[in-house]
Amino acid sequence: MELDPDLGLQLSIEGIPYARVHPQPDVRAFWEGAEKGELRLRKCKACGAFLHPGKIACTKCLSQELEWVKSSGKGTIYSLCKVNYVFTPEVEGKLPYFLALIKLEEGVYFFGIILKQDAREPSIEMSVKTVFDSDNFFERPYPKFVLV
Amino acid sequence: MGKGENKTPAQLAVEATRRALDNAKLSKDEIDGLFTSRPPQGDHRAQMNVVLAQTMKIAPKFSSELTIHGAGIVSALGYASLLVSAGLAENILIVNAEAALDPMGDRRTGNALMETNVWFDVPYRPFTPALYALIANRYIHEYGVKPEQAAVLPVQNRKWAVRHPYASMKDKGEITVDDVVNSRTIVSPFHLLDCAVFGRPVGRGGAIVVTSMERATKLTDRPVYILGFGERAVHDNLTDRLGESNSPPKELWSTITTSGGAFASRDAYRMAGIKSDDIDVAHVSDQFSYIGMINLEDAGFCPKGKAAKYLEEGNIDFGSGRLALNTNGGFLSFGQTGAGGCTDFIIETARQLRGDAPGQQVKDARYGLILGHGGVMSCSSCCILGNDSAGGAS
Repeated sequence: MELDPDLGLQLSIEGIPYARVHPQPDVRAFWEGAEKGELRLRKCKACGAFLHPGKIACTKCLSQELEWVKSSGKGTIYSLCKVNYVFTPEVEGKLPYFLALIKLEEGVYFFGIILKQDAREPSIEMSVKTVFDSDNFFERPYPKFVLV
Repeated sequence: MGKGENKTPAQLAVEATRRALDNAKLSKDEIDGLFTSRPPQGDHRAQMNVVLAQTMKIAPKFSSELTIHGAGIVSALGYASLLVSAGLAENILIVNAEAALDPMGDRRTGNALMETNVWFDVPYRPFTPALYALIANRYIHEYGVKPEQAAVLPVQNRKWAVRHPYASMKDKGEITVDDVVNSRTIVSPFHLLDCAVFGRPVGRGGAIVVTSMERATKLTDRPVYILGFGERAVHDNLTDRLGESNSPPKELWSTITTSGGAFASRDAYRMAGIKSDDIDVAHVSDQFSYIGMINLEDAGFCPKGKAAKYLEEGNIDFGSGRLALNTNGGFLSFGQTGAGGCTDFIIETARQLRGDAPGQQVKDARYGLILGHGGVMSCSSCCILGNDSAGGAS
């Protein structure tokens, strides 16, 4: 696995460089925030819209003057699914797992995973907060969601 | 249509072209336009349209890949008709072939990279059915759909498939609602039988020739007319879909249970001057049962959120329903080889209107509709066809 020398981000998968598939947007600040346990979003300096950290331009006004802001990390489950199928080998033994679209308080939608920490089964409209966790696939802490 | 058995997409495309040209009584030397759609997963060369032009040694006046995801092949009909109507080309070949010999072989590298944001989404291990499941679960939350209601689609699709010579499920027998809801859960809410057969038939090719009305009526006594079309390109990754934008249609930025197809179909109906009640035979993308339900709504056959009732009322029931839906068995039972399954929908709809359906023939069909989408309900394209009984084209 080829990793970014500064951030340790994975840069390729099975020999295919990510940058050839999709040039990396300038997201260092996001990963620095993740190290500190902060979920960071983008905010448009021109019109004030909150944006997903992966956006390169404001979707309301097209400005590329985007600043980094700290999100509360709190939101609700907009949709989710419970995966019961081994699509790629590294999820073997980890089923079921929950993928979700989370609507953050700032109005930004974030795709991620819900970690089941207790007997409650996650469902749409439940409240969540963000935690940071690394695992065997991604070596640095990255955002995951848990029920509050 | 070509049959699989280890042929490559290019071989299938050429075979389909020869059959279409024979059918249209044209020679390759008369082709002056060539459109393909999303490149095959079985052949990653760039610009498949140019590859095929080179393979066949033709130099069309107009040619492109039309890649609003897999819906592009449906849009090719509209673009072709614009060129013919403008008098700029007369015999346009639309061709698509796929032979995803091992469609799941590159699932690790290909699937998440294709469907989601590389830098943010891939670490969570998404895959196409899981992404569609996000749409389906939201749809169930918003409209209260039960699994038995969704199961009507795979059950009815299968009835057409067992009578269709090219359907991948043709020898698997009919299924019941109980079969569907008792099949194992892959990812909530999808049971195995709520999912399309992906990667089978192993290979297929399809070719369509679009020409002028004058030419068509000289070449055949059963022309099929392009009456209306519309499309919308909305998102590339489902995970990017929801967000802030004032660009129309604004409602799309705050929902994942309506596709661009809702607007594409309105454009098509307006152009054709007809309503959904006039449609006799239709094909809508049904990668999963709930997704087929969303497309029935977006194609205008029933209001948003009412597809469950529409299905329960028997409107698409084989033989008795008012709408002959997915007469080749749909993605659910005909199958989806990889990219470009909508080609099969176009050919089947046209052949139904022409009276030479490969499987069960719909009687007295006058108007047909195709609503295809590709990606993860990313881009949609609608086309309305009609035959002479529909009054021809205006």
